[in-house]
Amino acid sequence: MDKPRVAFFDFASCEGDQLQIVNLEEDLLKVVGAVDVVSFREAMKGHSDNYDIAFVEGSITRRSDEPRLLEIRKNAKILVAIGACATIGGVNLLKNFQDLESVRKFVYGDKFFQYETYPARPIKAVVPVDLEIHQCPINRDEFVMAFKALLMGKKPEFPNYPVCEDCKKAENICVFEMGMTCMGPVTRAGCGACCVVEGSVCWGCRGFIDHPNADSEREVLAKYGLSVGDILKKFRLYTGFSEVSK
Amino acid sequence: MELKKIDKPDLGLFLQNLIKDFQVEGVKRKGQSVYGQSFFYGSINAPDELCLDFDCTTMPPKKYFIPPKEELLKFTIAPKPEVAEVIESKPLIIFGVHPYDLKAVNQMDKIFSEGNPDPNYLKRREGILLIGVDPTKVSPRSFWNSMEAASVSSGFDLMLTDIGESYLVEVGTDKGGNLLKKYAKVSSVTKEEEQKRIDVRSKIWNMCKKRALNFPMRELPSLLVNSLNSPLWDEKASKCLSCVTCNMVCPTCYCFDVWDDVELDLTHGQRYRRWDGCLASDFAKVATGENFRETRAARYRHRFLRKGQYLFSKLNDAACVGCGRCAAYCLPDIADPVDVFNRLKEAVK
Amino acid sequence: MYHADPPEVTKKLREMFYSAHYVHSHIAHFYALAAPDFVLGPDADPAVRNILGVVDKVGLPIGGEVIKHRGIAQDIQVMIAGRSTHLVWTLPGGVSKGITEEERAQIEEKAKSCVEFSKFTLQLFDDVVLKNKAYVDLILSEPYQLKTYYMGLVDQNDKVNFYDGKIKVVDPEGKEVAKYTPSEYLDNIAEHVEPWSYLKFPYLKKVGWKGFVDGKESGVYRAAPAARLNAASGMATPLAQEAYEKYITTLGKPVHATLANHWARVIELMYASERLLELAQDKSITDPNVRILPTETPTEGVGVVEAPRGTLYHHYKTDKNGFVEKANLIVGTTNNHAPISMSIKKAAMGLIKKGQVISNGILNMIEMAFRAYDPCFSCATHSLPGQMPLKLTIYDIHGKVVEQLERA
Repeated sequence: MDKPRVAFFDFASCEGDQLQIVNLEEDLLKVVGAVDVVSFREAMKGHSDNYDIAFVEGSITRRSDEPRLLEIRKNAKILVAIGACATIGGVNLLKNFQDLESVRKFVYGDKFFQYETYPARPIKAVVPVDLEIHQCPINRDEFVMAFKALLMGKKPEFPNYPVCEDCKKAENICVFEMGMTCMGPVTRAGCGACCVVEGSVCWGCRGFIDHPNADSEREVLAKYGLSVGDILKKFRLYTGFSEVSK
Repeated sequence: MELKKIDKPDLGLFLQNLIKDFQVEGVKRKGQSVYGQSFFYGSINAPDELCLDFDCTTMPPKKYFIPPKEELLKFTIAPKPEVAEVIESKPLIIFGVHPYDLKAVNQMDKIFSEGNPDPNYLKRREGILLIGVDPTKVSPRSFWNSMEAASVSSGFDLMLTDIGESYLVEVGTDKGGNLLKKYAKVSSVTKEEEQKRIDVRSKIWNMCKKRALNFPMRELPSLLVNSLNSPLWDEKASKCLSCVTCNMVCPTCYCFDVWDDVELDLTHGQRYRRWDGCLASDFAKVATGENFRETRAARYRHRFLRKGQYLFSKLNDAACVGCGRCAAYCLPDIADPVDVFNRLKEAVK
Repeated sequence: MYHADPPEVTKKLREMFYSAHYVHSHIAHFYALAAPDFVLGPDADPAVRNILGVVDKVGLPIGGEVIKHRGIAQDIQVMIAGRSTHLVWTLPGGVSKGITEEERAQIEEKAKSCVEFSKFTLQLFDDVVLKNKAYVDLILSEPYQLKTYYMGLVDQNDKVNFYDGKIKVVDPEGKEVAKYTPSEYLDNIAEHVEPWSYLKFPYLKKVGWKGFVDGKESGVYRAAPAARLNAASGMATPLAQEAYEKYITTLGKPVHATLANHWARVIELMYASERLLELAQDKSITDPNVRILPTETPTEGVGVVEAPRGTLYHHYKTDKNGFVEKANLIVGTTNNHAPISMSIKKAAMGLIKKGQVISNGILNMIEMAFRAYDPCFSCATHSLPGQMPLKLTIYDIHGKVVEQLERA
């Protein structure tokens, strides 16, 4: 059997997800051994626009990114979005809620007009996506799980229940009970509630579950003292692209 | 009934001796919440780590009987298909289990041994010794007194009751009796002390009457059958986050999901199971994509029917022991069985 | 910005976490990105000039050690902070959890192993690079020199520090021209923009932007390993100091050779390992009082550490409710943006001669000027398939394209 041909691409991101893949250490050699890695970034012209699986990291923040993504979609049999920027837009979306001209002026001063930008969006807002591996950055074990499923020709199963399940299994004290607030009740589990385990709260980087009860979450956040503005900020930190965060 | 006495200063010695020979798990303090001290089950490595005056632990001791994630099989696909079962069990003592949680363990023992006996559960259960303790405090949402769970007549190896200067210890099994003989300094019990145990218990039982069903618990099956179309399900479920917290913290929720994991070389792997919860939106979703309980209301209602009707017919008892954990940890506060059952009763009157 | 000074133990824990980070980051760069050029040679076939080729040449057990020590350093990070990337363990006023005595003892053992591995790496550098005159000549050759200012964080004793201290800048002759605290960074650094890059070009404000040129008149400065060693007067741990002395004796000071970054990086790997061990042997590090709760509304703050790839500035300003209103970051690689561009140009101009056939080796030697900085985008330069998208266009003096080469 021929090995699947795999390519990696990135758009606006920190490349933290690809770093997670490099950080697989012992498993990295096995992962690389199971496939032919044919492309990294733009290294595809006239050489390797022949690949089966494209892993795409990052969000789309310029109109001029779109043709490149369309090309990747055209070439790939399976397109996998990896990491919060690619799957839900991630923190790049924060600029969408500000004036794009003043945002650019803040960064580039009077030369701001030289820099193209448009509201940031996840990959699925531009092309159909076959698979999404969530989290910021992606979880190495989950990547390997999905990767193995792809090797077997299966669709991997991702949790469709909130972080609360992982959090209870980890035997944490609920952060709401400690005077803090949390996006866990509407956020897709699979991270082992790592941020709560480490003494923080869930920020929502894995995106919403399929049918989040956002109204109830808003009521809960209000009950625990957040103002309407603060609630909106919570919903917009990672998940600002979702309809329910509008 | 065999009853012994351990003076309070000697309890530490008993524990110290047990720790030498056994893995001892018990109730520990873990962090303050805005409601006060939180309690969890964990390893006891020194006597002063154990806490016996807790009101209710955040999680029940079910993780010792059914781990949140458990390996069931190892399999090889190539070159030759092979399957080997994995049954892991290690002997341990759980120190400090309240009667309502013991009642839940008794129910699980029955469920996992009847019909299709579960070898993993049974093997693990065999190695566990349970040392119960009567509560001295009642958590704000508990209603175990209403659920016939204030005391149990079996299921424990030893049962402790704090009567002030000392603990009275009821011996539940021979194994428990042997533990006492070998590791504890005990004395015999006077008639007055025996009476004191009765008084202490009725006092604490009375403290758990603040929250109660307004009707006999045995009426639950008929009440639920007559309430299938109650508007209450929709009303409550509209706020349900499907977060499965109620399932996770419940001592009688034992449902699990099974999946296979294959190693990167695709030649061998393992089969696992993990706790699942019926409030999760995909709980009743099947391979072809259909979901038998698609709405929040359907899932929400299911849980109460399960506790008060379906399992009632199997156990001849409600599969809710009144610990109140689901009520305490439900963020939108819709999971309280006392509120649900009483309102249903109110509606059919 | 929170007006809360974390407890001493917290600073130690953070530095310990950070030292572990340096260990795996520097190991990755040296073995996966730098070593292929030296172990296999700059003009080796790109198909083998990668980490797998290095493992092939130096032996599988060493490859195993590389992976093992990267793993160890990450384990230490996970033990301290729950995870190694995007951690949420650091909090205003401290950290969310401390370490136990048991964990401390484990970290100590792991740190010892890292020190041993650093010794081995220094020895390897010695054997493969320094004992080969051609390589030393290459490092010191003109196409790879750039005489710029240098920046790095130093402690009270003027030694290299990654976690805390003052930012020191020396001129191309090695003379100190600035030493400032993080909050004074805007008095010292300004950023130039060019339409062809989203990344800006920081320069020394007091010297000024004179374009992509080196020398004392130009505000272009460099950060990262060689720059840090130029800015400071030595290393704070014994074995790293020993290695530093050899480095200075061999190359002089300040070191203008871009490729010397590889050597400096291995010296820093030693320092990070030794510092990790020092902190792990400090019994007070298990103190459970790891946080003071900030009670004032946050206002404004600037934090600076030395990232493996250069000085890292974080600047935050809040509104009256304490919510972040403005943020400005200058990250490691950004410091080196102008010098990277200049180094590539200089290497290309120095290596490409009229009428010469451009070989793969020459392409790679141009790439080496870029790779020495360990830029964040360097992952792409030695990706496992051994390819980097590189496009070389040679113009004549009239701006006409003479030759175009593209390696896919």
